[in-house]
Amino acid sequence: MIDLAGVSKSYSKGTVKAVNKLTLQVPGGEIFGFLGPNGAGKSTTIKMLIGLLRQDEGTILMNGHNTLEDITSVKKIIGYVPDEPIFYDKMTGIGYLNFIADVFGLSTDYRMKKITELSKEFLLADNLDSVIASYSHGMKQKLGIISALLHDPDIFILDEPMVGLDPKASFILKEKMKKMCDAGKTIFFSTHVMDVAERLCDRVGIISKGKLVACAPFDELRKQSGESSSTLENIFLELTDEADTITV
Amino acid sequence: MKQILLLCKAYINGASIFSKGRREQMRSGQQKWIAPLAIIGLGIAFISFGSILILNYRNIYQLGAVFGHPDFLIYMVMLLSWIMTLVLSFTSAISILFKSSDNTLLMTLPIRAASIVWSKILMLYATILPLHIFIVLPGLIIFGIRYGFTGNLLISSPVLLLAGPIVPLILSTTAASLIVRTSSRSKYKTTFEVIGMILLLGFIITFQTLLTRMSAETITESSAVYQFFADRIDQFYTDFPPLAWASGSVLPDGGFNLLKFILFSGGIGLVLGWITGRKYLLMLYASQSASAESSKRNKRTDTQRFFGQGVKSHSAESALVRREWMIIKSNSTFLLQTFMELLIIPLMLGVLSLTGSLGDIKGALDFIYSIDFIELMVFGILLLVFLISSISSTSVSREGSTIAISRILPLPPGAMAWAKVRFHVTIGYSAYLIYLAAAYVFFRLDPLHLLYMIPGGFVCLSISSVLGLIIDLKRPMLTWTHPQQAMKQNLNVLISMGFNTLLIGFLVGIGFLLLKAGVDTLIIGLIILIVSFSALLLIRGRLVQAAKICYGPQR
Repeated sequence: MIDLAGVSKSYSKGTVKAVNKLTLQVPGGEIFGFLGPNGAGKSTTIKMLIGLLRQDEGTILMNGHNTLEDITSVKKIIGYVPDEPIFYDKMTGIGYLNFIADVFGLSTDYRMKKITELSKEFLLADNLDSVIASYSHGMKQKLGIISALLHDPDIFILDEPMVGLDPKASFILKEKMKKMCDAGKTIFFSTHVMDVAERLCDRVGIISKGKLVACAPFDELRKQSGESSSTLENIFLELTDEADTITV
Repeated sequence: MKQILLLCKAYINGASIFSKGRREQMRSGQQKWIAPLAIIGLGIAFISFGSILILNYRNIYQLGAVFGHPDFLIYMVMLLSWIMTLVLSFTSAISILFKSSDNTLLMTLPIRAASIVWSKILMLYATILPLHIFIVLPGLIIFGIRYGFTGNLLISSPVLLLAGPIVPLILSTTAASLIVRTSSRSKYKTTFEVIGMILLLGFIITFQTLLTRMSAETITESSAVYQFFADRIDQFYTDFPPLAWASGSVLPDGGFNLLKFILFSGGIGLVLGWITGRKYLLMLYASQSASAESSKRNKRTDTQRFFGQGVKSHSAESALVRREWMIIKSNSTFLLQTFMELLIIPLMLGVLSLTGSLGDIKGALDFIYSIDFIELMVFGILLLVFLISSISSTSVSREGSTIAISRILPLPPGAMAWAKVRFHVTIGYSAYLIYLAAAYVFFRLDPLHLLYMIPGGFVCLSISSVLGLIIDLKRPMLTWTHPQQAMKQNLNVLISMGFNTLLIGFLVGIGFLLLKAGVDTLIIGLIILIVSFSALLLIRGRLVQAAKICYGPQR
């Protein structure tokens, strides 16, 4: 369960409000899509969820653990896939996964089983003993996903996960997210791909200029918009004032 | 030319201490103490090394003047600068020209390879020029004071100051390029590069040895001394004409020499620069395709066999310690710097034994044996060598952008910081113990003194590592364009050296006062151990605090 209560974050000595009093709950067994235009505050929110950034006010609880007071416990239960995967480039894929498994204290048998299973699933098994520097962007993205799933996290957070993935890997990831959701895990991901959000998410939240302007299941959003044929894209554009800009 | 200037401007604005980001960082509240501290550190270095140089320069001038070569001082300062430039610019050349992260961007832009190479050589020149001026300028001033500020001296001085480092700089750039070219397709690229660097250093040491041997042979008959030195100095001039042209240019009839020096430096610079530039892009492309090739070569289809071999578990702490080594060995600059610091004692001894005469070495040993607090002195020297290190004070900086990984690891920040200390102390203390054992045998030290020397090294190395790490955790240099910036051009090294010098000064001060008071040297050593241990206990909390700020949620 992700629980944000009145969370705010400013940059440039308070002059730029990146996130403004954000309140949101994402329970276990839900896939939550976090949408918003560029610079709306999506990545800042995600960075606060995983403990990379400290919020100015408000509290964030991840399965009951406060991100400011008990960040190590938070990190143990989350799996995070960043938008730009960063690795120790001179390591091999297997070396990196082993390092992550060591840090999470995974047993040899368990990690062997998980690495075999996930690397085969994401079609990366044949490349694991190559140095990461030689990987394509998509391969790095896959490695990032595998490393985030290695310890079977309770909360799976993904920042623009579909970028760079080929259709097959993208499909596999979506299936994985659904399976995790069925197993009662919390999935929180940001995306610009409306189709994915529309089809995959139980609920979507739309953030604009740091404020949550909508948060509901897609069908409910459609009802609120008053047009039964509205797509998520239309609703998104309407709510984020971008439709006007395009018309002009 | 326009492209070269454009690129230089981009480097200055994007990757130097003059960039807006770096200036803002320096101006921000947390960084205000850095500038004065750095100025003090630089000032101390400038005054101490400068005074040694001036003292030696006066003697060299005297020697040259006696044997009819008043410009011999200029010859020697240029030689010293060339050797220093060769040594220091070599690793920088590999780092700036071939390891820079902006290469990937530059390769995609419509910029000629020559423009990239020349702009990078100019950057390299800018980094090495202050050192050259620091070495040569006092020589020119002393020459002027003693010989007179003639017109030729005033004309040649700016040329020698500005064009002086061109030849060694372009030589080391070419050597770097050859090594990278040879190793770029190899699986053991980093090893090749480090071997190449060591070979170059070996060459420079041998070169210096030959020079010293030429001038430092022991002459027994006093009547032959004059003729001997006169011959050797003459030989210097005939053996290395470019340096003879440089030094001759400051004399009243040196106009032609100046012209020859300019033509030689310019010619060599242009030819070797052109050669390096000609294959530059090809080498960058080769290194790109080498990665892809190694990826294919390493591909195995039998995944079960591979997993059976590859998967071994370690504790989280051990994984972090191993990661430190992995980061160092991922880059030849980091690796060489680490080895050089660990092997500094054998290197110094090697140079001394090669360059000094047997008489000099015997004299030094006799002096050491005659000291009645030899154990304390050996302990102090070993600490001095190991405490002034850049390994811990650049540890976080070396992580660069991968610090993002550390920040999401589910481990307490303190554990990550202590893993770094464990790594630094493990490698430093292993070397310390080896040197201590050698000193014990060689200087026939009293075994009782090992009571403080063995744990003392561990404690002092831990303090040094903690201090360096605190500094680097507080102000890590995480955005670097080339690895050189993270380790050799990192201000944290200077700050850490300042703190470590204070620490050594403090310990030496205690030792000195107790010696004066007539306390037994063994007791002094034990007191120093207790004081050091207390200092370690005092600062350990600060390490965890600094780690929390660095690895915890950012503001």
